[in-house]
Amino acid sequence: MLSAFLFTCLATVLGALAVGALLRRSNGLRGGLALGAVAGLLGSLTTMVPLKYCVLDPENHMFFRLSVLGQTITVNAVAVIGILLVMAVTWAFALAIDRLRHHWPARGGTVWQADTAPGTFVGYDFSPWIFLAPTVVGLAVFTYYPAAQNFFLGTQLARRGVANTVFNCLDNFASLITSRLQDAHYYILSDGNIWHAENARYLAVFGNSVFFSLFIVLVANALGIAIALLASQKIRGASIYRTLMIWPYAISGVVVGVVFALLLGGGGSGFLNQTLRLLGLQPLPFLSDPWWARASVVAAAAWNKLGFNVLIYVAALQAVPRELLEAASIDGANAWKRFLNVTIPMISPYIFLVVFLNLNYSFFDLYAVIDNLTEGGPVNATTNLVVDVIRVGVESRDIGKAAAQSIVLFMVVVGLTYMQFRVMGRRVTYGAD
Amino acid sequence: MTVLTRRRTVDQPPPLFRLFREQISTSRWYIHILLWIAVIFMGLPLFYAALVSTQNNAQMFRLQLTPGDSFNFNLQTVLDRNIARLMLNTFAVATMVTLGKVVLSIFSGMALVYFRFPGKSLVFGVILAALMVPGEVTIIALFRLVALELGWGNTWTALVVPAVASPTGVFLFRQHFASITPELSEAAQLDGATPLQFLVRVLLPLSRNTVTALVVIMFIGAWNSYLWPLLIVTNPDLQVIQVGLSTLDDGVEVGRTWGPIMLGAVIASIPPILIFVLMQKQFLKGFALARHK
Repeated sequence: MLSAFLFTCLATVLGALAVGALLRRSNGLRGGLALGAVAGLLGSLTTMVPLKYCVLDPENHMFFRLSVLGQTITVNAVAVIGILLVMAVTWAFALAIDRLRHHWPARGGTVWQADTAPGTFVGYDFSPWIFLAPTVVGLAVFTYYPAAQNFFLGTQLARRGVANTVFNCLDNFASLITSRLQDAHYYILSDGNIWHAENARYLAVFGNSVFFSLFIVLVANALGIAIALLASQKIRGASIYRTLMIWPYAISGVVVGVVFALLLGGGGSGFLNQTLRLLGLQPLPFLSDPWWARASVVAAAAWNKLGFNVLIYVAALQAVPRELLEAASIDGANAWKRFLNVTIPMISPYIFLVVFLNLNYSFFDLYAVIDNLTEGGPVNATTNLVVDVIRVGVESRDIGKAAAQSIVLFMVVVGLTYMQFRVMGRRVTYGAD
Repeated sequence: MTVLTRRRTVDQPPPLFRLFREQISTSRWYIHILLWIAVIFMGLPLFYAALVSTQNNAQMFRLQLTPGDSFNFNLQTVLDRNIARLMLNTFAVATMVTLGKVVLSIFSGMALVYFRFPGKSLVFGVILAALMVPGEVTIIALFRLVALELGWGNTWTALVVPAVASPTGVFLFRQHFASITPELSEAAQLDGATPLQFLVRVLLPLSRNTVTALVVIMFIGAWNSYLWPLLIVTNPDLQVIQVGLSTLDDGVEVGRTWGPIMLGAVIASIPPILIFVLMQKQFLKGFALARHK
């Protein structure tokens, strides 16, 4: 009890200091401190009371080792997760209270009042609710309830197909950065490594997801813009070319997976390797070498998305005002400079749109491609976050750990959405539109 | 680039102009060639899959680039594996999901634009926020809910019902309806039309492109969905084509028999490609509207 009380006090004081420092501009020093104290108190209570302060119980602790500049320390993984959790929730409370304090009087009135838009039907009080009910109920039951359930299941020892669950503190989360069987060891600038991790399986999975996203976005957008530059020219048959290029959009991940398995794998002698042999070259281990396998997934996914990107970029390029390009060429800009300094800035809203769509795709929708192309192998080299959720939750039947991983996925969505708002919120074009 | 070159000639004297025109025609030639390379590059995977669907493994492994002699055998294999059933199942499920999504989205969009009620912006916010949550994030808890708590495992209910509420659709229709002038609904009200009459007689005819756009994305999405049916349906009689593809192997040879699988892949790709290509124009119009409003 005493440690729980001390923990809450500490969170309140640290919350006051951190939030006070970060939000002092909008609240003043004293206001910031007060806001931070309230947020810290709420943040620690709303997370630790449901968790029954289990983080403080040595029985729940798990450890990993961390080597920085040759110094090795042992870190409590449960404590790390607990602190991160309290910090995140505290920050969310601080932002929410801050926003409400500044905007509530202006917006509060309108939230519950019907707006007075013209053209609305008068005298139908119940119809809108009947119209909305199926959608709202459907989302509540099949989106919001499972999303909330993730947070409950994440703290439970839950087995697939078994209704009963047992509370196991932050085990599921801590086992993402280390494990009970064998402590993970992270090396930063030590033992001759800049960065190295041992027994950190989930980190490698996360790395795969990031790798896929980066390269799929890069390849699908570079090629997409290049092809769109050609396809947006005023030439005969332009619309036929476009149709002939965008249809892969309609192809399923499964088909992409099996067709690329045929092209790249094919029992070791697929189309590409046979072609290489005919050319007198060595066959390549497309699906059996970790890096080649990752590259194969990127190639398959980029091929799948390329058509859609071309479609959007063609529309974007055709909307670039001619006058700007003319003006640039009169000023002596060559084709490359015109592309870099006129075309790219003008189509940048579309670039951001496509990049975010592709990012979402490559983080969340690659399961079918990977499952049918590499099955996550060789040795997890192409296992990404979603594939691992299914691996753990369905194949290993560990629903609790899979729920914890789903929350990590959710964090990725929140991060991507936040970035999207930040980037899209800014004006990225110069005039036009 | 040609367009740029031509534009640059505005201030040029006539002889030079002619010179540039010649350049235009040659550079156009290159564009055609490059575009054809791009088209072939995009088409090659599926084209090769179609080729292999007529071959047996031996022909495939020696990289035979002409149609093989095993098409009938492959066709017989996929028919034996009940591909007709799989296709029909997928068609039924995808149609139900698409229909449900479109109808519910139209009603919700209408409620959000043509009615006044307290908490409207809150409801819209709740629907919009669901856009942010990809199905993969909730899939484990959803699986537990549907299989364990609702007991819908191995039913089409499990494939259709969780999918019909569509934040994307609601958003699209709300934006579309909001872009239609309010005078129409005012006029309809003056003429004594009920909301449903207004919907059927006025809104729907004005929404053809939006409906088409939504039908195209939703149908392709439903047709191509893989992970959810893979988890929730294990009965082969109820299974959909995407999951069934891997069972099209003839099971005789060691390793995969590529011919039947590729034939299945090609057959499974025909409906979505057909819909996408045929409805391309309306699809784009529907989206252009959503983007600019």
